[in-house]
Amino acid sequence: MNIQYKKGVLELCVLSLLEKRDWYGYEISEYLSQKIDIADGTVYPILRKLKSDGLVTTYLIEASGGPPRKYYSLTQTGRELYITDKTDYLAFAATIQTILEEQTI
Amino acid sequence: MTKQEYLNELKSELAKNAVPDADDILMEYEQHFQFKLADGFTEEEIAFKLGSPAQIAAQYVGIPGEKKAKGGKKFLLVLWLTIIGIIEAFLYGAFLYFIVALFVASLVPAALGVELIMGINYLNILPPMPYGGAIVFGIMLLALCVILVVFAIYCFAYLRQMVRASLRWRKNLMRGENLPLLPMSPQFQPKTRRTLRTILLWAVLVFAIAFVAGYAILSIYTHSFGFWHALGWFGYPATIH
Repeated sequence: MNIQYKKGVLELCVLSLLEKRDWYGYEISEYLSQKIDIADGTVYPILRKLKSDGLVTTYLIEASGGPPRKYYSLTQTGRELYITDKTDYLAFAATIQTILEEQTI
Repeated sequence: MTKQEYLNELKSELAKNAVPDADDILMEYEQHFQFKLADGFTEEEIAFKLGSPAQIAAQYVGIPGEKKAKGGKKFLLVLWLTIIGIIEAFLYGAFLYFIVALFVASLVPAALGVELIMGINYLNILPPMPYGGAIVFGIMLLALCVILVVFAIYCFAYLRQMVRASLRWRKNLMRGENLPLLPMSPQFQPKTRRTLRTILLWAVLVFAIAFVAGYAILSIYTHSFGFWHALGWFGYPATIH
């Protein structure tokens, strides 16, 4: 599938995951690269952008047998933005689907 | 490409694009290697799946660096907020006492009003008056109680909103978040606001009518505008019993 499609919605996917619980970066990268065909390295710039936009915050947790994990957590702003973006996207996707499936006009 | 080669190339690509916080970013990818190596992948596989360093670096272009508050600045901010906080706490505390006092004060007219309406005079604190005047003044005092309670509710809502706004402002400053600032005025639901306003208006209306009516009734009864003289209030000798 065209890479341009995926990039746009990846941010929304990350917000969606973080809305359910806090994740650490590698976890998100693994989860998404298993479901969507993207390069593993794509998720980290997105996380950094979300943080610089004030949508997520980070905190470190020491893990046994590995580097400390940087957990990402949704801020109130992030949560509010996710809710509106999700609604917008679902409406948009539904419209596209109708148009694509129209046999005749 | 080995891990070291990949990281070196990423480093030079980030520098080429003048991406801020390059060390943090490199750390993130180094950790990615560590996690993946622990899962049994080879360095080459991991580097291949990450995507080319040039592509990765390009995705960081345009993301501003993290504004890290310097230790000294942060300390000054905390100190400043603490000083303001102490002053605020005094103001809020005084306001809270005032509100509690209002609630307690509203009990006095309520108790007196009930006594007047029921025609009792517990502890003998009420001046003598005919029951026709007493019941009207009783209603007036009950209305006064309602006015005080509604006023106290408004005050409490105002205090609560002030504290909330202050906390939101502090949170934004301390954590560098950009939550919208809260207005200072009390935020009632429209329905609550309408209800409170209606209750207050009716209470004021009843208070005014009852005051005038009570005054009129007693004036007619005693044939005097200074009916308290005739009824023997405040230590005057009573001329009517």
